[in-house]
Amino acid sequence: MIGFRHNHRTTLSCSLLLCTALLPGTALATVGGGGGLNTSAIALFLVFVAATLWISYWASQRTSTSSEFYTAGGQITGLQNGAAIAGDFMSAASFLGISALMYSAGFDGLIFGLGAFAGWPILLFLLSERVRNLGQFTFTDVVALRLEKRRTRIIAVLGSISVVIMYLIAQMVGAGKLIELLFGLPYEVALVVISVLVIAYVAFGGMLATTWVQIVKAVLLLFGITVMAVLVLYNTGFSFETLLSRAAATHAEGDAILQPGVLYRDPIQVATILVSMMFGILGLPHILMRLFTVPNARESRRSAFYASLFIGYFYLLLIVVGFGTVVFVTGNPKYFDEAGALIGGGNMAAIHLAEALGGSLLMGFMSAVAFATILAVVAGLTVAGAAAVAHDLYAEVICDGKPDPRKEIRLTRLVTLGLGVLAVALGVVFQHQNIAIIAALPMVVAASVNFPVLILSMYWGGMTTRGAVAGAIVGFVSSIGLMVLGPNVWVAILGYPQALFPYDYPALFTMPAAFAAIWLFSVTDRSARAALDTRAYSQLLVKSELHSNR
Amino acid sequence: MPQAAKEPTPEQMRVIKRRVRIRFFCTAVVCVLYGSFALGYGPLQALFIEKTPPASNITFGLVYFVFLVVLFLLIEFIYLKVANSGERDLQSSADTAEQGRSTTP
Repeated sequence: MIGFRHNHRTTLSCSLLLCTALLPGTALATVGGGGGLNTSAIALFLVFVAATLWISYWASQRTSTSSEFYTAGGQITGLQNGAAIAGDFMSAASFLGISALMYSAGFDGLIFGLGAFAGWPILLFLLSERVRNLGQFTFTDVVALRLEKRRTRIIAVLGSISVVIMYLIAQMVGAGKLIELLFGLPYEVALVVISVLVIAYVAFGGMLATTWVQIVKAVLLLFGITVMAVLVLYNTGFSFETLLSRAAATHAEGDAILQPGVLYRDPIQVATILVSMMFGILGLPHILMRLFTVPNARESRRSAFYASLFIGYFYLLLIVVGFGTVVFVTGNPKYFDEAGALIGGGNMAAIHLAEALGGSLLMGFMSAVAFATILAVVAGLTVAGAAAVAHDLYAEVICDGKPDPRKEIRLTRLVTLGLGVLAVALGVVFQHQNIAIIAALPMVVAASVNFPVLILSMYWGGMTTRGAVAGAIVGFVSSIGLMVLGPNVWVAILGYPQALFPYDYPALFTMPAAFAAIWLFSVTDRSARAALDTRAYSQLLVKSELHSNR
Repeated sequence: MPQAAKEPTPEQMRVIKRRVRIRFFCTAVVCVLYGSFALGYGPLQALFIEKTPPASNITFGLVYFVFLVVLFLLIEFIYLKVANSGERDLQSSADTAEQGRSTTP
């Protein structure tokens, strides 16, 4: 039990900031059990970098047009795209953060696991086919199809860019700290390393390179977690029952870690997390963009299904790994410092488990995988950001859909470079900020701005341009406003004793507010534009079910 | 709408509506089951902490988590099959409509 009680609060807060968006990586380890650099981690990571740079070189030979840059020419198969989506989404946070939460709070950590999984079936049912059939490169294409192009695109690009940048900040701050711990590199140098690698992948290889980097990373992560789960079960006689009873016997909370209630007791609080996670996923621009990399709606459906399969498998194994951290890390003096704190912080629980189960080789492998994970996620974000600026804003708004293709692709590469520099700058600026708020923001904004506008543009003929713009504004302002009034900012940053709004994830309230605003401003819209918007819906319906843009 | 998409025929509308109903039905099932997980922290807490079977350490909450993941995957798999056949129906109705147009003087 060494250090558990002492560090309970720290562990939880560190874990939560990793889990919140299931995105940002924070914390790996230099730390095996003894500290110092892990040479196997570095060696394995260098192998990964070499392989992915080769992939980028290979992809660069096949990337010259906008379509190839943004969507790999639409020639990725459903299976490949499903693996890439899983690689894009399953971040270091999923692995390290949720297992850390389970290490400290047991069952309650699964809330984030379920939240991160349950969005995928909805993506398959509601979005995969229609988004693929209606859009070309980005979800903004879909939203702007029957509405007034200029206003809709500008508002959708703002939603898209704000989510990408918030997500990017969370990733970079987490990644910088992670690599600092893992490789002993200074924080700023770590940011530059990530940025340079991601620019190399994206600027040269575009979506094709990004896709394969994500596939490689997904395979490595799934392989790693499978090995860990098998080793946990091996050490508990392949009995899940034994694993749980040993976990309950080891943990300070005893049997309570096997049931709800250690970390959360309020069902509304849990519902706010579940809603933010599920619908946040459905509004993430870099995930939606992946649906355009396949040739047709059928493959798009298969992508969503395979993504679910990989992500579901991952979270099922995480139950074993999470309780494994309780059994094999708790109480082992090798993993605690003199003050009784877990070496490297709470998020190191899974890395310590890897060391406990498979020595420095497995720990090095899992550390390298966590680093690779960050690269894959940041690469996906960078492609989405570049597409939002170069395609949605420049090509479609400024050039009115008739850009010079060479200029567009040149701008895309410049934006990629710019995003790389911006990512480093933001990482430095926000390095001392509360990551929990940075990480929660993109999920809440995606659920409250992007998702309502996207889903109603495809499924409700009554939505007008005015309604879409009003809904996006209401979603955005209410998300930011309630998060500022919530515990993460009002108490943790501004120092007030009690939050004015009690929940960290306000999407349960802000998303319905956005839907209500879209409805209200659409049904009261009597403009000529509104008539055009609603009239175009039946044509969109046929296109969404039958047509493919390429 | 930049492309000259055609108005849907009644037959196409029928198939589209059926496809939409299936989508929303699957979505509703997932959302209800998913939302009920939150009830494990409120009205259903007694159920969620119950051991299943009684002599073991496996709680209903854990079983429910695994059940949800597996069930959602199963629903997705069924949806994939249904969607593929629905797509064929829609394509054939589109072909019929196209033939009707081309043979209409």
